[in-house]
Amino acid sequence: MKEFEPVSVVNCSNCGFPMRQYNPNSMMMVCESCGTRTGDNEQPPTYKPEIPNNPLFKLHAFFDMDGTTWQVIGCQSYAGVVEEWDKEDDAWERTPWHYHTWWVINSARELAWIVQDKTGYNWSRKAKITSGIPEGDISYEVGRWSLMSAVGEFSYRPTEDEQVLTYEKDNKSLEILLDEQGNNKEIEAFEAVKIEPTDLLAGFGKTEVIASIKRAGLAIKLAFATIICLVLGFFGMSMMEQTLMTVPSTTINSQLLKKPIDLGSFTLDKKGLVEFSMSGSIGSGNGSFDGDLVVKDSDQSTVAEVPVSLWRESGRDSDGPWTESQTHDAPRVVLPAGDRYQLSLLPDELKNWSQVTLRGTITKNVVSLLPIILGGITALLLAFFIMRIRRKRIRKETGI
Amino acid sequence: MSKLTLIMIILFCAALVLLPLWASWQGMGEATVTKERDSSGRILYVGSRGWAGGGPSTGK
Repeated sequence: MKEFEPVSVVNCSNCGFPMRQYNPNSMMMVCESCGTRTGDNEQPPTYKPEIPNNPLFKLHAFFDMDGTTWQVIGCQSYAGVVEEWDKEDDAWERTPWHYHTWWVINSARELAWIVQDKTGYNWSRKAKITSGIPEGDISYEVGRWSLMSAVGEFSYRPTEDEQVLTYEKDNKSLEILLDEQGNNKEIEAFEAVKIEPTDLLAGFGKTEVIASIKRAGLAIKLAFATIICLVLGFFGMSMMEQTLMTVPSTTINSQLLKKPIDLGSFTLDKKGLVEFSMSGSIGSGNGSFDGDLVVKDSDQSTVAEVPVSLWRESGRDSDGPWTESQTHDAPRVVLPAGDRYQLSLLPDELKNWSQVTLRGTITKNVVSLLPIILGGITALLLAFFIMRIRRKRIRKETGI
Repeated sequence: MSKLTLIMIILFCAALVLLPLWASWQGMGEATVTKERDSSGRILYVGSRGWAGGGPSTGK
């Protein structure tokens, strides 16, 4: 980008630094070297005003936005407090805040302002004043600002102790420049238009940074897509479950305890996770049933003993009466392939209830949930990690 | 983020889909009974938890 031609170059009266003026309407310049103001025959201010350290905006830097080339010609830094009405506390809430206003000019010598604060960058466009000063209106955020630093050229004469009062609502603000007595000196209205960080980076020609941030965004989407794939895969595999056998309705009473009850047989053609899903019609009141489903091979050797437990408990606590129960139990076990497995039930204990009736299904190709959960958590952590890295990169490259 | 990092993340995500799905299909994380043979050739069912598994099977 070709540098704009300055309309004049004025040497600083204090240090001789050549101060370039780009806006023909500028009324005052502040030396970027020593802080001395044009028109002042005094010594430089007690402190040296500094341009804030910004990775993009520097004095006299160029950038493109919406096909227009802009050049930075000045910067003002304000600090103060924002007062916002807290409906819960019924009082004004005060938050310390600060912001910078970057003065920019285009090749047609039109002025514009970009406001930078913790939340981002906004074009600050002049608007028509459509209402009076909303003094005491709790729907507005009220800002009380002091000028901390001004460097560059300005189309008015900012004083060293400049005070500004702002009323802001819905991205529209009324800015009141106060005089030394705190009276209203000048009123202007502005409208804030958000600038996306990537648009700003593109404007400053940071194409590689944008590509890097886009890649990070793609990686975040990939991590979330991984979670979706895991969930879809889980449900897809669940559809491949097959019922090996149905456990017939079997009633257990105290006479049948400790005696094996034959439930039937099933064949497992290959090793896999088998679920023993058992439901019971339990007795009224508190009680419990415990037993084992015993799986034996064709040689009557015990392959596995799978516990089944049904219960109901009730009581009373400080919240009142409560009841908890388990009428369904579905233990799982990975079994080796077997030509014929014999399934029997060995009732172990029946408390308080006179009988319990069991029925259920034995299912193969059951999917274990634990690896899916661990994979999903890992993908989620990966997504958060990349989001954090991306956020840090944007902050580093844009200063917000 | 560099292109190489993105490629590594793509591969990692692919593994993060396939490995858990495969592990789920294998029933990882659940109680397991494996069929083993002792020195005399008898089958032993060995459970990964105390309540699973059984004694030796003769004749096989």
